[in-house]
Amino acid sequence: MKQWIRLPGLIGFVVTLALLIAFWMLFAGGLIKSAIETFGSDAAGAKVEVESVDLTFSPLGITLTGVEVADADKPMQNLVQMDKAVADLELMPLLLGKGIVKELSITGMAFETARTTSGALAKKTKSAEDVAQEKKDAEKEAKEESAFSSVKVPSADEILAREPLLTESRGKAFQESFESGKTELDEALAQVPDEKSLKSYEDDFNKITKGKLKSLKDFEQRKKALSDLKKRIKADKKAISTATKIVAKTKKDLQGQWQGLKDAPGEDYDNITSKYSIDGAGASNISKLIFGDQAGVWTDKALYWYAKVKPFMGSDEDSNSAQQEEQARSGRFVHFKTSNPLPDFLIRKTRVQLDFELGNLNAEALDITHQQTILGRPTHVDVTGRNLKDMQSLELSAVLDHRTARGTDSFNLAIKDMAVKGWNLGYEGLALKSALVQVNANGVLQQGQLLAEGTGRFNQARFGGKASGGFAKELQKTMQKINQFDVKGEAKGKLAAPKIGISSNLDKAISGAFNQRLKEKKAKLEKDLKKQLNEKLLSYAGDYQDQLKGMDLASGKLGDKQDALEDLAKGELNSWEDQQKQEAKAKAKKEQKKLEKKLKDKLKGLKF
Amino acid sequence: MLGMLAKLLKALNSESAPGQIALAFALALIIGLTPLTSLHNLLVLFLAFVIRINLSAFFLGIAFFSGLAYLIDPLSVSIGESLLTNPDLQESLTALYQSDFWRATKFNHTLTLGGLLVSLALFIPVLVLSRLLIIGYREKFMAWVEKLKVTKLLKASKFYKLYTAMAD
Repeated sequence: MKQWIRLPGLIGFVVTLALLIAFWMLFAGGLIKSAIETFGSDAAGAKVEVESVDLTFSPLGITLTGVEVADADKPMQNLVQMDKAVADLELMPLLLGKGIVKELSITGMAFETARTTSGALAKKTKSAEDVAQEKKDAEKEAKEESAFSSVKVPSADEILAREPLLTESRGKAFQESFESGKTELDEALAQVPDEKSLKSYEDDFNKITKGKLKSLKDFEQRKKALSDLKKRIKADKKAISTATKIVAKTKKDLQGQWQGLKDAPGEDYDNITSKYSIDGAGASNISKLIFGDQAGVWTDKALYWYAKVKPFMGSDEDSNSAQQEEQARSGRFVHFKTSNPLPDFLIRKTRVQLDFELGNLNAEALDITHQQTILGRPTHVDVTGRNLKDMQSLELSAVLDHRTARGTDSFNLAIKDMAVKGWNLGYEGLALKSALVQVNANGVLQQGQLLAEGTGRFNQARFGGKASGGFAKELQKTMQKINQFDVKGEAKGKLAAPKIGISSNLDKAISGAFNQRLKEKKAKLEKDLKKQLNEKLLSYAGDYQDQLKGMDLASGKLGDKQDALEDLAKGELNSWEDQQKQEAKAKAKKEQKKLEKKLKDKLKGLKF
Repeated sequence: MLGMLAKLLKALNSESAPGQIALAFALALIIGLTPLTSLHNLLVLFLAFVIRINLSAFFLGIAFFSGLAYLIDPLSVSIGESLLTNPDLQESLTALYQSDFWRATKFNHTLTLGGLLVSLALFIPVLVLSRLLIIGYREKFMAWVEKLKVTKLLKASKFYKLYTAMAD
């Protein structure tokens, strides 16, 4: 038995373990710092830097100092930075390989701060796929922007540049048909005999058929010449017939398309006017016009931050096929019901002090993890601020629930007494000089579909502006009488490009003055649209009408030529026998007349 | 690695007990077929240090069976999956899951559980088979190889001296 036990091996085992632990304690800080910077940079697409990482063993914890996350879009700016982050870790889960943070306290957290060095990562060589993806992203971004651009009344030029026009598509099709028909017709007409050829046919025909047949051989020769001539006439008749058919077909095609092309500007106009709601009802939504830009900016910001946070919230798309394939090779954890579920990473409680221009906000988040399915609880976020600059209070609560594949995120926002000062409403120099606003909003996002609504109650409103005359002055006057109004907003549809709806009781208050102005705008837009569409039509139609007349003329001439050839083709050569018979007949008749005369003369000499 | 291989060859050709080399292979099988950072592997490592087995054979065995695991892992995962999702076992598994110790063993990981079961099932066959192979090698093959002229020539070469120097 003794030969099977190796006591020094026990020492070796203990020493190996001790070395591993010592190595970890010595280098853990550096390894964690390096891991945060490397993986963080990959996730953020920009530099993530940590000044220092300190480990404490009683209580077990980790302190990060001077964390900066650069903005991938603006490298000289930090997306977020924090002075200090202290995390209290739970020991037992750590031994199980789980990173469970009991409490995370972040102080000195600020957003969009300036950097002294660029936060851009070293550029990788872009593959064709990357370029294509970037193009897609840019298109997507442009689409998202267009969700807000529709709240303005665009100019005729903008609309015509943006919209696919029937006038253009039909015009191009018409031009193509016209060109191909013309080529076909030119080729066919080249085969048709000209006037000179017709004259020569006539001369040849006369030469063959006129004059006395001298002999049977002469007859045979003429007959053959006539047959050859007829063959040529037959071929030319066929060419004329083909050309006539092509003229008719081209004309018919073009006439059909011409009708469509003529109608296209009208159809385009109808489509555009219905789409852009430039009828009275659509355009009278003044709230959308004057608050649309502001709503767009806010919604953009909210979506931007949501997009930054979402990847860390775990996911509805976890069960993709690549991941399933990976799980089939390297396995997966099967979790069972427990009173103490342990995801791979969890921050039970987070306290953050946010430094904003408007003051300090306190945020508290519970249960931040990318594995809510294991934890069985959603992430709760509460942000509160009191006595802020230009705002009495702000309360935001959000629930990010990704426990099932159909993740649901919801939020509630309440802002009390927000002081609005000098909002340029971006319309005819109109400005909201001051107001106190109460905001209440809520929203739900499920499977990429957003449904959010909010109300802003504007009290003690004072409007003003630099309008010098006309409609703007009239509008300003009307608005100066308003001191309280509500603006309701809603965002519906795909998160990437939600449809923004804004309404307000301002509409009713100033609809009279505004409708008049809108009628003028609408009339001008209609006129511009019609003018430009007609110009487009003319550019495609070109000298079509002249060409059509030319075709008619060509058709008529072809008919004349066909008739002339028909006549020639009907002409026949008398046969040799007929000519002999006719000559014999004529000779007999002459002889008969001669005999009759002789007989008369003899009868006169006889006297009875 | 080359030195380790030389040591293994030396052990095969030496008077080391065949069981010590065979046990090294069998223990390596467990580490090779299951994820390296599992708790049970700490126990296996402890046994490998404390029991007088051939450590070169043990570490080479880990390398060999880790390579073999690429082929066996899908089977291990499916075994683990079917056990962990078996409705009849849910009550017992849920009870185990309440214990931090058992969770530390990662018994609820499909590859860990499946790999461990496969390696335990193959433990005795690998132990017996490798022992028989070592004995057979020593009795028949080694003597036959030693008698070969080419072996004698090789043993006289500088390369062999270098090999034995490395093995020492």
